[in-house]
Amino acid sequence: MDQRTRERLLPKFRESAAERVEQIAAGLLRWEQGGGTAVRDELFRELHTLKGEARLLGFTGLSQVLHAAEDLVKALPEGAAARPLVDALLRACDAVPGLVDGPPAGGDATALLAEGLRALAGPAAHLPPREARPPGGEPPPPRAATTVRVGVEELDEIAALAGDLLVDGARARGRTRELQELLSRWSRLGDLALAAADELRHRGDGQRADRMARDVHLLRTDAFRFLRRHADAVGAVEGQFALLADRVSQARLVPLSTLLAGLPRAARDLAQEQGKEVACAIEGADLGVDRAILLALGDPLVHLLRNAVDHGLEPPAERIRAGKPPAGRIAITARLDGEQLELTVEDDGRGLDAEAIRAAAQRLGLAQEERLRALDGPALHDLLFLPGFTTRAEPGEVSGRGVGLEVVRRRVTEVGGSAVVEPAPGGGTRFVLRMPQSLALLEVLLVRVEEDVYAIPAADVEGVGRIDPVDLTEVAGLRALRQGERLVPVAALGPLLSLGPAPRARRPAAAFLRHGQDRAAIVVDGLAGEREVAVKSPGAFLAGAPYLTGAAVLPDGRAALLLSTPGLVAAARRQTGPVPAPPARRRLRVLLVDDSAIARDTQAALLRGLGHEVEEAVDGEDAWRRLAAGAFQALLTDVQMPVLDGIDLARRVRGSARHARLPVVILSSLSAPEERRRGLDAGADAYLVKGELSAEALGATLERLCGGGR
Amino acid sequence: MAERAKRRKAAPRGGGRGAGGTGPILEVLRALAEGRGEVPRLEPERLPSSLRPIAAALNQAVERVQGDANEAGLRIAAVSQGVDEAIDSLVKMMVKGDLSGGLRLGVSDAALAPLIAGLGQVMETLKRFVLETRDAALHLSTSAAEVLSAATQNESSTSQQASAVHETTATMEELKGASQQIADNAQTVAAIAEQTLTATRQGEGAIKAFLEAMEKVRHNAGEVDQAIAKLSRRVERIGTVVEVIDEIADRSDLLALNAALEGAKAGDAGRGFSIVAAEMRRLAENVLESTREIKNLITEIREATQAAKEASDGNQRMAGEGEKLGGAAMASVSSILHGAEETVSASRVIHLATQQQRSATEQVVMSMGEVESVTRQAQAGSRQATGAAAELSRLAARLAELVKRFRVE
Amino acid sequence: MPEPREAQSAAPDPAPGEGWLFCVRAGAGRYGFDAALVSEVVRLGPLTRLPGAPAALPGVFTHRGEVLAVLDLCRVLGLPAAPMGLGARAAVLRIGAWRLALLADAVLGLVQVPAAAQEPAPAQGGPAARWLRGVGRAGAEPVAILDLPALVQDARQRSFAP
Repeated sequence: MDQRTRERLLPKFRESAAERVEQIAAGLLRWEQGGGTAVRDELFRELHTLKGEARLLGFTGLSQVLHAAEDLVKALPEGAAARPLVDALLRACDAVPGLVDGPPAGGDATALLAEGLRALAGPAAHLPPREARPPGGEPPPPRAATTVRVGVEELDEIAALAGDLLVDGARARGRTRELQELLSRWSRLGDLALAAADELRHRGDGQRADRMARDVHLLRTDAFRFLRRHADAVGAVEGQFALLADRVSQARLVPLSTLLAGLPRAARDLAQEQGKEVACAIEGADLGVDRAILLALGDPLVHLLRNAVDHGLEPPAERIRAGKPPAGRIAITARLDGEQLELTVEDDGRGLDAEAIRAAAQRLGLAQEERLRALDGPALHDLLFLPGFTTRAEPGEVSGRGVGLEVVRRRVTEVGGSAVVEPAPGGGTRFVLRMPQSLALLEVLLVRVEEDVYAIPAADVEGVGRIDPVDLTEVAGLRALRQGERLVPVAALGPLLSLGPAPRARRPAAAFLRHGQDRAAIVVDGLAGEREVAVKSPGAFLAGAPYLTGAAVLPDGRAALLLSTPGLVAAARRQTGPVPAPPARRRLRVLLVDDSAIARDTQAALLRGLGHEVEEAVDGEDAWRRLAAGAFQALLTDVQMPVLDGIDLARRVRGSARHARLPVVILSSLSAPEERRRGLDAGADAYLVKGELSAEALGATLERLCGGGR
Repeated sequence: MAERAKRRKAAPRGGGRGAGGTGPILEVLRALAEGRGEVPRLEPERLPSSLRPIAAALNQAVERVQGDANEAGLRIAAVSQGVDEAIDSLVKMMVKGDLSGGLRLGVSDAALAPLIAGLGQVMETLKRFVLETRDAALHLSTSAAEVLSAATQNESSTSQQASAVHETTATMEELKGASQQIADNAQTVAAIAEQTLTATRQGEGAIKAFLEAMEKVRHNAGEVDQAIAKLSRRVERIGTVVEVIDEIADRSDLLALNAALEGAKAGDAGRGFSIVAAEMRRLAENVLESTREIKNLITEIREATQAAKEASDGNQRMAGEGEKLGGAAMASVSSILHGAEETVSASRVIHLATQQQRSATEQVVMSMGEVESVTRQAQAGSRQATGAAAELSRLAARLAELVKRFRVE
Repeated sequence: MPEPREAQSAAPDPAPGEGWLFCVRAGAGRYGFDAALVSEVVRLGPLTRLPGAPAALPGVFTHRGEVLAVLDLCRVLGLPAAPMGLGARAAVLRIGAWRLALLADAVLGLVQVPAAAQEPAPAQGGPAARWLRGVGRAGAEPVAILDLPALVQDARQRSFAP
């Protein structure tokens, strides 16, 4: 192979190698849990193919390692006896990406790895192969021949184009209607022409009259023939476009396995660290989901897995005492419910402890005691998703920092989904995540605010209707709609989105939304129907815009903005609902340091919103002077500032006798781990990233550092 | 009493002058006889005693006479005062002419009663008389006025009649002359009517030509109208085309702008490209400017065609009006023709009639002269009657005036 | 998601795009910025308003299947809103991962201002002072040269404050 071809193929090889390694790791875990020969065959196939590709591209070291791995797989014993060999093979798998990025020949490390594997294989390696495969043979052709790798961005572009074609198809149909209208006007004109021809005939110009009449008839017939053909064609094209859009969006779907495959391994590693045992089963991994969904699911799933291992599962001894098998079981199941993807993460551990949740909520000042007493079931479990919630007094190594579950819910709702936690039937804990399978094509309800059109995922709409003032009731100054036993908060979309006034109609149209347990009636200026739209990402610039989860192009070329149901429901409840008792917070005097006036304004507003008193400083030196002059309970500082930067300020504060114990929070736009480390090394107590800053997170941090509720 | 007492005191002085004794008695008697007012008294002490009873009786008599005389004098004075008053009052009433009140006297004496009654009767009579006189004066005044008005009317009608007669006579004189003239004129009219007839016949032809011309104008105006409509449709189409050109130019401009951007991104290699793109933008801008110009022109043309359309509409309307007027003119010309023909024959008849009329008029003039002289006499008589009636009326007025001076009620 | 924080933190290149400035008119002023940031100029489509957005972000429209937020430079500079009729043009910007459309009173085009014709920003430069990088002399009218990434970043931060 010449160098140019190799250069061209190398990136693809790296990609496929990573994928194969993942498959191999998953296969190994299945083997360990008693996978059978089918698993061994699959492992063989993957190792073999990878070896072939590595050899093709000149990765001699890697191919030796893979060869040794093949031998070891051949020798894998059944059941628990395989564990040491599986450990070794997994370590080898971990090494592969590094080898692929390194020099082709590998080096000493590669040789060492291969040697290690060979040693483990021992005499078994010398067993003859069970089937007559050509030694170091060709990669098996079927997959390579039928699949083509396409960059996701390209596919996205194609999908966007297909969506646009769909819209264009609808437009073409509209134009056909216009054409029909035009032709019927011609036809009416033809009638007039025929009448004129008759007149001509009466006047004796029979020849001209006949020619005229003939032409008119001919033109009419031809025109209608054309129109029919055209309408048929447009209909067909539209259908094909729909098919194309559907296929492309199918093609865009990435199998969940790419995300789920790594989880059993991760669970195993985590459990091992904590001296626990776990068997993680995956179901429905072959389901395809939108890439955006997949991206949004990554962090939540890892969090949930950690949560299950850390909080859910008991140590083996405790399990045995409880009459359970020593190895905990975690089941990750994906299934489709209509267009919605449902993912459950279920463990058979100790389950949800209502008292522990109440105690933690009270300790964290999230709600008052009597309110907590009244909470039960889903409402109580929902507290787990509050920012800063943790049942552990001391943050654990793995989870328990109180950010995990909040992030889980935030990520899932960002793509229009929901997250709930409930007791599993067997006594453990079950997290259920629901979200659209694909963002590309989505059934939505279109609603109007003045002339603008907004979309709400149809899956979240329980119904539409008109709101009769008779059914409205006022409870403690809020408007709500009686729906049987329930009271549903009512809010107008215009004011909710700060777009305009509420509709003036006496019985305005409304959409009844449901998100999880929460419902809301959203009053709109008009309903513009339900339809399937190609949803586009709002783009990086609009990321973080309130209520916005996407956009779709309507047949008239306008954009319909896709609104987030959780956001709407939450806002409606906020606007009209009872205000939950604010956690009792101590009023702090905070020194805020930032050289950007805008940033200062925003953060000061947040702090004041939390009930704290704020003094502002424009740089580290200014802050130092103010610290000397006044008494503060907390210091919030930016990092990059003129004169004296945040890191040096933190050091100086820590170094002084007077302020050594002053809580210091660094607020930075830099989110890289090394930046965090630098901040914490300098003596900061917390490091928050500006882009991810929320009132809840800030409040929780300050409370953690300064103590709340005292 | 005081006077009597005075008189009594004065009496001894008078008595003192008598010598002898009878002298004073004589004196008294003489005074009595003379009826003097102041009759001296006798002083019996101075008289011889023989005389003394006489003197006393005399004195008594004198006293009595004197008393009676005084009483009578007083009565007379009262009566005469009453009479005076009555007369005075009557005179005053007469002077004032106020007969409304009755007589009222400060004195009441039985002797006056007949006088007062008489005077009352006089007053009543006077009142009645005055009232009757007033009525009569009123009647008289009215009659006099009626007479005067009748007389005046008579006079004026007489004089009118006179002047009418005079005028009639004069008119008849004139008529006599006029008849001649009419006869002459009728002849002229006949001649003129003949001329009119010929002229009108010529006019009829002219109007026919005018009507034809109007018809043509109307037709032309219609054609102009159609042409204008066609033109404005064309102009609208030009407008549509210009819109398309505009759109293309705008797109070209946009394209050139994007091309320039690409050129800028290509760095040095794109420099030439950028120049071409800039050139193209300028071109597009030129086109846009031109289309703006064309649009202005179209607006002007649109305005002009509108004006032309209005003018042509005006023409058409005028032509229609002209035709209508021409038709009316034609109608009047034919009636003129008809009239002229009648005039000719009528003027001939008139000529004949006036000849006869002249002789008749002459006879009338003669008899009118007689009537005039009679009338003049009647006029003088009536003037005199009027004068008298006026005098009468004046007198009646005076009478009424006089009578009015008496107030009866 | 990669955000163009680098665009702000990195020292601005004094002569980007070889001196090509993309010029727009906002109010009475001519403003220019690095032409390399503009990927194309398009006609503004019908806008859909953004929930809870300030006047500087009047809405989004679609262009070639892409949803673009519109940033009204005039409003950012505290001027009356730019016209948003059918013929209005917007410059599609690419600033790091951000894609958006910039609207102003008029798109003027490209101007090349050599470094020699660029002067430092005056001490007080009106509403744009915060983002003013200099003043270019080209033609009859000076061009206020803006640090557009900083301006867009500020406008975005102001709009979607965390």
